[in-house]
Amino acid sequence: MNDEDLPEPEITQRRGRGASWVWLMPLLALAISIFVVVQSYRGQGPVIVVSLPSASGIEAGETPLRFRDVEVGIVEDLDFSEGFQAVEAHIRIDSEIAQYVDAEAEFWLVEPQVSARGVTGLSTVLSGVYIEGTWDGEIGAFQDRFNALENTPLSRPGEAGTRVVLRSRDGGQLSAGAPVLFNGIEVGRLGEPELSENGTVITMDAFIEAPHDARLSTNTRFWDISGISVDLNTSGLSVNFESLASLVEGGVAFQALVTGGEPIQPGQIFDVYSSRQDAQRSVFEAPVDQALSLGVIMPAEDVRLVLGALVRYGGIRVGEVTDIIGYTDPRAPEDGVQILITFSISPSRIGLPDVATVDDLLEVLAQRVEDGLRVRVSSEGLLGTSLILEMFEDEDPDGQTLETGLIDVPIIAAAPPNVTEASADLDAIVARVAALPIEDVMNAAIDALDGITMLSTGEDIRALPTNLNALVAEARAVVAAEEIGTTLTNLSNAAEGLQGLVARITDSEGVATTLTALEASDVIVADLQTFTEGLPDVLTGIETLVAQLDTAPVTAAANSADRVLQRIETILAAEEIENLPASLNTTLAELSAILSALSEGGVAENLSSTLASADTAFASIQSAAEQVPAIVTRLDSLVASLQGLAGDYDDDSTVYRDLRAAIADISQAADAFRSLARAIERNPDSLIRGR
Amino acid sequence: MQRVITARETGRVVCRSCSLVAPAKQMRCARCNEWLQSRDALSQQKVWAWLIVGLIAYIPANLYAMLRTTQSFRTTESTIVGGVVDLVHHGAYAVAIIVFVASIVIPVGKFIVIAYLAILTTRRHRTDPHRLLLLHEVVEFIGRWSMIDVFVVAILTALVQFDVLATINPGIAAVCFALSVVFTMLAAQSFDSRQIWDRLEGKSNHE
Ligand SMILES: [Zn+2]
Repeated sequence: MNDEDLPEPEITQRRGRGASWVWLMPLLALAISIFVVVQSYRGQGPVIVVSLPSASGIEAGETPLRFRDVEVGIVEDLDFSEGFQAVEAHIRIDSEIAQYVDAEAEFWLVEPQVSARGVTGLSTVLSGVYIEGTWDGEIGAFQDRFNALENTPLSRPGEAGTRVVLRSRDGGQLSAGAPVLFNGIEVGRLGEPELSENGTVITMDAFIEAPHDARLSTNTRFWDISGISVDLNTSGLSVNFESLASLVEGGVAFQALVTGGEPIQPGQIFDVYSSRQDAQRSVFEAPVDQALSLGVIMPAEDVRLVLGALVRYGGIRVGEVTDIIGYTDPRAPEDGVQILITFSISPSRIGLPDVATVDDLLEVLAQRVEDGLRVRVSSEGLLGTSLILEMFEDEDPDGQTLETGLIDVPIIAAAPPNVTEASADLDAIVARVAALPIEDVMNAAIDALDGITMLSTGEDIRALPTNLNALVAEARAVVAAEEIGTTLTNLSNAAEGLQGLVARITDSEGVATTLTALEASDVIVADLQTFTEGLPDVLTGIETLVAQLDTAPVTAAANSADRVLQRIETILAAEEIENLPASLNTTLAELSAILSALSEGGVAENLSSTLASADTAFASIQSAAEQVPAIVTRLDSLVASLQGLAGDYDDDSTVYRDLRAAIADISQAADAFRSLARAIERNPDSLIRGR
Repeated sequence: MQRVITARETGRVVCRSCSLVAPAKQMRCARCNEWLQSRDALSQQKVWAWLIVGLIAYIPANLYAMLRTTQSFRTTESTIVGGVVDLVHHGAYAVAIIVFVASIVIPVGKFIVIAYLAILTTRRHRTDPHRLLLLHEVVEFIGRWSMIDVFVVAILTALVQFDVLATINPGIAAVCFALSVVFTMLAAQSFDSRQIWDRLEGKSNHE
């Protein structure tokens, strides 16, 4: 192949020198780059700084900011705030979100948390923690510095519901996030419990979701449902707890326990009662609102108050005891440890004016103390079953003043306690009366009656001399005397009634129950009176019987006369009999002390007249008791006489058998009376005083 | 040095496509109908243009993430240099060297070599034309192998897709890197290696 074979070349010059089209490429690339850079710079949102207590798990360049689980930013940088007080996370947020991040925005760290309510933030275990933010849908002034919340907030902006404040003296097991139940359904949750400044009250926010928040009114009561309550009553044992979660994590329930009530405003303060019962009770006692804390120092032996004891002024509830601690007065250290009681009152309820500042209030209070306002421990209730702190005006003030600046609460002057111990005494009386062998006496008396009846109806007894027959009939009449039956019944009724009375008085709180109690005591007194009135008749009957026995023309009966006399002497010589009157006097004195304490209780005239008769009733018991040894003696001698009589008959005769049976029964009756007597004799004081 | 006579000196033109030699004035190759041109007048411009595009693409290839590794909800992004540092940290020196050579040394070397060739051939030079030719051959040959990074990313992406546990996705840098490789290949191809001979000093030249 050579050049000639080649096709004729085209000899056109294709193009000259010039710029190649290929230069468009770098220009295009450059343009694209610049466009991308500008675009990404312009699309970049602003940086906000969120201060967190610690940066646990946060990594620069990785930890996202989320809003409703959508990533809207990323932590670009972490550094410390001034003085290393906090960690500052610099978060680049999306530009379209930035305009909503205003002063209302809230941020918090979402970490995995394991609690009784389950695991929250589980996804963060694998993905790492993230910062959650929330803000409303309104565009506001952009703010770039925030302090992160310590916990997930109670509610998010825009979430329908009502926030209220719960106040509790004992935080118990309540914790943030714990449920708020209504009829067992979770309708809200609790916020972080916070101690008040003086450390005596715990407040926490609670969020009640709509539409359940419509159930809230001023009559709504909240109570603690933490833990289990075990109730043992007539229907058996019942174990109550509201929900498994509340058992472990705590929680509160609420309900309007009475109808009516005003609608509430958000932020309304509610007290948390320790149980539903307490909440129910509270409905009738208006809660103490605005509180003023006061202190009082008392000797330790004067104080038997419990935390939460009521503070009353003129019978009205004005506050409650918030703290009881041992305290050594720096002004008088030689007094040793005393008790410092801190209590909070509602100033308006003790008649303090509605003034603007606490200082003004204390000024007025100081004047009141100088005029005689004092605090003392008092017993409350008809029989002083519960102790309260009572504020009262001392008629004759000793010049003490309101002490401020010693401790963090003003100290008000104390007065000696005003406490009765009546309730314990009344209890003891009832116990002693109940312990008397009344039932034994009753049974023995019935047996004696039976025995004598048998004797008198026996075939052979009719063959006896008529005077002996008459004697037996007489014995029968004595034992069968209605008085014995009724007095014994009365006595046992009185004992029962007395027990009931004490139970009712102990439980009593209002005037109504007091009146019921008084009525009951009337019945008892009546019973006791019937009993004591009837007793002399019985004794007279027995005396007549013995007298007739003595005169009975039975020779053998005379043989035993000496023995009978001896016995009577022994009984009368017993020391206890001699002691009886003296101790009886003390008893009565103490009894009247109780009664006067009772009459101070309030329902004055009716009560005191009732109690006056109670006084006599107890005195009657005593005098009856005094007479019991006599009954025993008479019964003994009756037995002896009958024994003598029995000696005249053959051992196998029917009369003899019946006689022996009658004698055994009567001796038993005598024994029963004797043990009754002994119970009273052994320590007469114990019947009344229980000591 | 042995005297080398170029086709141009003999009034001929060689087809760059099928190596058929034709008279200098002929416009199209008789065998493959390719346009014939003794020297590509725009070669220099094309080389520089593609080289600049390649460089522009190479910048984000290094700044942005090559790999987005998601391991149990945690996403980590690694740049080329970052990846090499990581590998060194983990003691995988051999792999680190391979990645470093493939991603940094070779592309940068290519930019330098192409620029060197382009600059050198625009003026008179005494450099051994055989060496320059070899350099050009090497650059052209290596060109396609520079894609090794992109291949690795593509293979990893295809292999590691366990959804929840681990996923690997190519980052924007992988695309930029691929573009950079493509553009440098175009730059190398645009270089008219025949120019090497034109300004060689110490040879009789018709120009
Ligand atoms: Zn050809």
